[in-house]
Amino acid sequence: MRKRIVVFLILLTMLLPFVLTGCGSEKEDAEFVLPETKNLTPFEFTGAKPSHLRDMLHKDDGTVTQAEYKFVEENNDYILYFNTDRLDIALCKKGQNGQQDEFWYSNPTDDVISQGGGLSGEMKSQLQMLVLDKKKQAQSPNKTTYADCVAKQPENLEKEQPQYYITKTEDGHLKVIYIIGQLQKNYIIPTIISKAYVDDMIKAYKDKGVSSVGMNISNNYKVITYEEWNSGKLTEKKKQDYINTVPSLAEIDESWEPAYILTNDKIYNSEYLATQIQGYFVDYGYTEQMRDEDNQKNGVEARVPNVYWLPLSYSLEDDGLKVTMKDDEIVYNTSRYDIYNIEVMKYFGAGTQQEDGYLVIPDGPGAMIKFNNGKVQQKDPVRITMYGNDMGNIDPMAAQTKQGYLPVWGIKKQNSSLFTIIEDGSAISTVIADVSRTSGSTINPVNYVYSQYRLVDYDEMELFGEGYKLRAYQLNRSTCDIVLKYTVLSGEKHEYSDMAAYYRDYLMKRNVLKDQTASANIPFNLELEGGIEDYSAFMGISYSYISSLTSFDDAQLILDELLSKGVKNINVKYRGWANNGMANQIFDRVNVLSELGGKKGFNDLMAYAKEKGITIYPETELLVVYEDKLLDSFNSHNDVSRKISRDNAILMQYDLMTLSQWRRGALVLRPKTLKAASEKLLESLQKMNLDTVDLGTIGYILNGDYNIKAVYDRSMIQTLYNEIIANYSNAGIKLAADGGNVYMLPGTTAMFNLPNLSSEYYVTDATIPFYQMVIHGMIPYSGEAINQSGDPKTSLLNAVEFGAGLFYRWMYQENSAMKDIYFEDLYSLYYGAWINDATVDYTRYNNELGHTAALKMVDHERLTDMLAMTVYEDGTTVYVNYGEEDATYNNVVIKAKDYKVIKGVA
Amino acid sequence: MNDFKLALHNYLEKFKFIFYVMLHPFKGFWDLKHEKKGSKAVAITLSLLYVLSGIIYDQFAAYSFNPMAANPENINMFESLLSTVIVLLLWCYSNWGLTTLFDGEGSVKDVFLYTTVALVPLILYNLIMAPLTNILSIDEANIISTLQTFSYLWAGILLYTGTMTTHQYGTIRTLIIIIFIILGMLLIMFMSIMFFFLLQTLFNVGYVIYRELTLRY
Repeated sequence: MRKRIVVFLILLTMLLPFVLTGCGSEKEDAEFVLPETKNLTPFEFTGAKPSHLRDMLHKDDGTVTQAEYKFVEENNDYILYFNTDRLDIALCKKGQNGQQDEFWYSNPTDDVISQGGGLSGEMKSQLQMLVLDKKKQAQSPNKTTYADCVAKQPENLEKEQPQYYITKTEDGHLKVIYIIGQLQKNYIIPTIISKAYVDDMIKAYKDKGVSSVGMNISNNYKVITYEEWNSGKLTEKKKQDYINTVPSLAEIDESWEPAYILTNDKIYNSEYLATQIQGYFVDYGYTEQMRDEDNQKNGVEARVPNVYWLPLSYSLEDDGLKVTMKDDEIVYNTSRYDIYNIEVMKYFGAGTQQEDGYLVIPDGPGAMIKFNNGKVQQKDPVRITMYGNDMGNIDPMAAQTKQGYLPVWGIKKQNSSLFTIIEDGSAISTVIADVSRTSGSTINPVNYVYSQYRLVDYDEMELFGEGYKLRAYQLNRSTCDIVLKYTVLSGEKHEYSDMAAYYRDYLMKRNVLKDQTASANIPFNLELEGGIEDYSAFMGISYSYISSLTSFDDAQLILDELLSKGVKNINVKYRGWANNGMANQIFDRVNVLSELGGKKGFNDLMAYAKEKGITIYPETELLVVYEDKLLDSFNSHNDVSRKISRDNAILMQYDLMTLSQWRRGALVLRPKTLKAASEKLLESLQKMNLDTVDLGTIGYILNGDYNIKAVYDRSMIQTLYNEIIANYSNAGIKLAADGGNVYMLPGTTAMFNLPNLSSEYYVTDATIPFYQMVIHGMIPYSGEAINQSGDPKTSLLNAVEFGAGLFYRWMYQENSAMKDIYFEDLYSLYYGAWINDATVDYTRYNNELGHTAALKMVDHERLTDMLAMTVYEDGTTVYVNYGEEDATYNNVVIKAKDYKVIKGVA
Repeated sequence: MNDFKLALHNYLEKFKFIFYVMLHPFKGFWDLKHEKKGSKAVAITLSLLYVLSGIIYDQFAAYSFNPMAANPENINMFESLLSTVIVLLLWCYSNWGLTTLFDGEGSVKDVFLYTTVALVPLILYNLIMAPLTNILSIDEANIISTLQTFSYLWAGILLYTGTMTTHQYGTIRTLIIIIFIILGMLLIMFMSIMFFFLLQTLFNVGYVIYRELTLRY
C-alpha cells in the first residue's frame, strides 16, 4: 500500500510541470492596427525662404545633380531645410558678423553614397533598426527607412497606400512618419485546401483554355496525402516545416483528406505573384470566409503584419535642432515583434574621406578620433555604452570599453562643429563611432558617430539544466522618448574645448552644475578602507569577524600625518565604516562598527575633520548588498533586481589573477527597496548630523530591473536615481560621486574615480579631458587610485594634464591583512608605503598649480604623441611630457616624464 | 550512583588495558576479543581523540613543520570528523565482509575495537609533536621524522597483529587479506560515488521543476 502511494506521489511530481505550463494564461493578442492616417495634416512648405540646393552627384561628363532642400523653419541662429524625396534634412547655422553659413546634413551626398556599396541604402536612411521575432526567437536583418520605406513609396503611392507621411506635430513642427516594412493586403489565398477542390478548379480553367494555372499552383503548393506522409519520402525536417505551417498535420491519420499546402511563403512578398494566385481562387469562387474556415479547422495562424510606424519630428530651438522620437507614438505588432535597437540619424554630419576633422566620443573622460586615421585593421567600430553595462543583463567582463559618463558627442570639421546631446533616452543608448575604411572586409566611406537605443533586450534563459536555452525578452519596451539636440558651433570656437565649454553652460543653465567656489588648492582625494568581514577558525570551528583595516583612530593618524606634511584640500571617502563593513548589509539604517571605534570614535573623527577643514564622505552603499544577515530588512528573494533571464541580478567581483571566477557576488536592490532604503538612510544620516555622504556604486552603475511583475528599464531607474539625488541635496547633504555618470552631477561636491584614461580603443587617437573641462573649477575630481596604477609616475602626469586631484586608496594595516579577501579593487593599500611619495608629489603639484583648482580649463591639446598642453582661464599653461626624452615646445623645455608650468599673468 | 561509579571504573580499566595491548599486541588483542577487555565506548573515545589530536596538531604545531598553522581558517573540524568516520566505517565493513568469506572470526565490533587501538600511536604522536615542534628548530626535523616513522610503523604493526589475532589468520594470509580489504574499500567507494551521481540526476529533475516554477511566477 505504502509503495503505491509513493509511486503515485512520484508520478504526480513528474506531471506537475505539464499541468502548470498548461494552466499558464497566454496573453491575448491585441488586434494590431496602424494609426488612422486620414487626420494627418500634411506639412506645408511655405517657401518663405528659398530652397537650399545641394550638389549630390558629380557625373563623369562634368554635370552635377542637385537635390532641393525646402525651407522648413528658422530662428535667430538656425534654418532647417528638408528634402521631400529622401526625407533627409539640412541644418544651417547662420553666419554672424559676415561669416558664411554653415550647413550640416543628415545624410551624405550621392558622391559618397556611391562609394558605400552595400551600405548605400543605410546611408540614405534616417533611422535603422534590428527587429526581434519573438516567435521564431530570431533577429531580422537590419531594416532601414530608405530600403524598407522611402524606396517603396512610388509603387505604394499608386495603390494609395503611402509608406510615409510628411506631417506636423501639435505645435506645428515638421514630423515625418515612416512606415517600415511591407504594407500587406489581406490576400484571399488558402494555406491549406482540399485536393479535390483545386483539381476541379484547375480542370475548369483548362477547359476555359487557361493552362498555366496548374503549373503555378504546383510551384507554390504541395499535395499531402496520408500514404505519402508515411512513405518515408519526406525528410523529418520537411515534415516539421509543414507542421509549422499547418499544425493539424501533426495528428495526421487515415481519415486525412488529400490537400494542397502552401509551401512557398514568399509569394506574399511579391505583389504580382500574390495577386495572380489570389485571382485564380477568387475567380473560381473561393471566398475569405472559406479561407478562414479552412485555417481555423487546421490550426493555421492568421498572418501577422510586420510593419513599424515610426514618427520622427524636427524642431528648431534657440540652441539647435531638436530631433524627437516619442515612445508612445511608435506602433507595431508587439505580440510577435519587438524593436531590439534603433539607430537615429546615423550619418548626421559624417565626415567624408576628403574632409579634415575629428570625432569626439564620451569614452571615459573623452576620446578623439581623427577622420580617416587609417586604423582599419580592427573590424568593429568603437561602442561606448552609456552609464556602463547593465548588470541586469550583461556579464561585466564583456566590457571592452570604458563606459560613457556624459551623453554627448561631437564632430569637428574645418569651419564648424556639430555637437550632440542626448536629452532623453541616454539611459538606453550606446554611442558608436568609426572611421572611414576603404579596404578590408567592411567598407565604410565616411567617419561617423551616432547613438543607438536598446528598446527591448533579451537574454538566454536556461531551462532544462542541460544546455537547452530559450530566449527571454524584456517584458515591456523601454519607455523613454528619444530626444537629441544638435548644436552647431561655428566661428573661431569649435574645438573640443569649446564643445566642453558649451556643454558646461548648457548644464549650468539647467541647474545641473552650479558655479561653486572651489578651493584654491589641488584636491587630495583619499579613500580609506574601514573594516571588512573576514573568516577564521579555531580548532577547526570557523567564525567570522570584522577585520579592522583603518579604525577611526588610525584614520586620524593618517590625516594628521598628511596635514603635517602640508597637504591641503583633503577629501576622504570612508568605506566600510558601518553595516558589516565593506561587504555591506543593506544601508537602510546606520550601524557604526564597534571594531573601528564605535559611534563615539566616529563622531570624534568627524569633529576632528571639521576642525581641520577636511571633508569626510562616509560611504553608504545604497545599490548593492553583499551580506543578507538574519533579522535585517533585506530579503534575498523579494528585494533583488532580476535579470531578463529572471535570475537575481548580481554584481560580481572578479578574481584578478584569473579574470574569470567571481569570488563575492553582491545582490542588486530592486527599485522599490532601493527607494525605501534611501529614504530611511537619509533619516538616519540626519539623526547623526551628517551632511556629507557617498552613495557608492550608483555613481557608475545603472541597472535595469526586469522582474516580470514590474519592469523598471534603465531610463526609469535613471529617473529614480535623479529623485534620490535630489532628495539628498534638498536635505542639504553633500554627495561624493564614484565615477560620475551625468545624473550624479546635481548635488555632487566631490568626484572620485573619474577616469583619466579612456579605454584607448584601437580606433581612437587620443584621450582628451572632455569631462574634466566641463567640471573643472566647480567640482573637485580625481582619477583612478595612483597607488593601484601600473605606473604611478604616468598616473601623476595624467592627473596633472587633466587637472585632476590625486587619488589614493589607503588603509592603516599592512597589505597582509587583505590576505584571502577577494575584492577586485583592494590591493596595494598600505598607506605607509605611499605617503611620502604622495606628499612630495602633491606639494609640488599644489605649489605650481594650486591656484588653477578654482579656475576653468579652457584649452587642451595633444601637441605630439608624448606631449600635451592644458590651459586655464588665467592663461596658466601646463605642458606634460610623457616621453623618455626632454621635449621642447615654443622654447619651453619640458623634462622627460615631467611637467612644466608657465604661470598666467592674469 | 554506584552504577555510574562502576561503569566509570570499568571504562577506565578498559582504557588502561589499551596501553597493555599496545605493548603486548598478541596477548592483548586476544584478550580484547575473548576476555571482553575492550569496549565500544573506549573505541569511540579513541576515534574522537584521533580527530581531536589531528586538529590540535594542525592548530598548534609550529609553522616550520606544519604549513596549516598559517591558515587556521582552512582547518575544519566537521570535515576531519567526517573523513575519519567514513574511512573507519569503510575499513570495518570491508574487513568484516571479506574476512567472513575467508573464515575470519571477528565481528564488526571486534574489527572496530582493534582498529581504534592501532590509532593510539598516531594520537600520541600528534599530541607530543604539537608542543615539541614549537621547541625544536628546523635543523632537528629528523627527530620529528624519526618519531613519525616510528609511530606509523607501530600503528601498522598493531593493525597487522590485530587482524591476525582477531581473525586467527596466518602471517601471509593476513597480508593478503589486508590488501584485499583495501581493494574492497575502494570498491565500496566506487559504488557509493555511482549512487551519488544517480542521486544527483534525480535531484536535477526536482531542481528543473523548481526552476520552471520560479521562472514562471
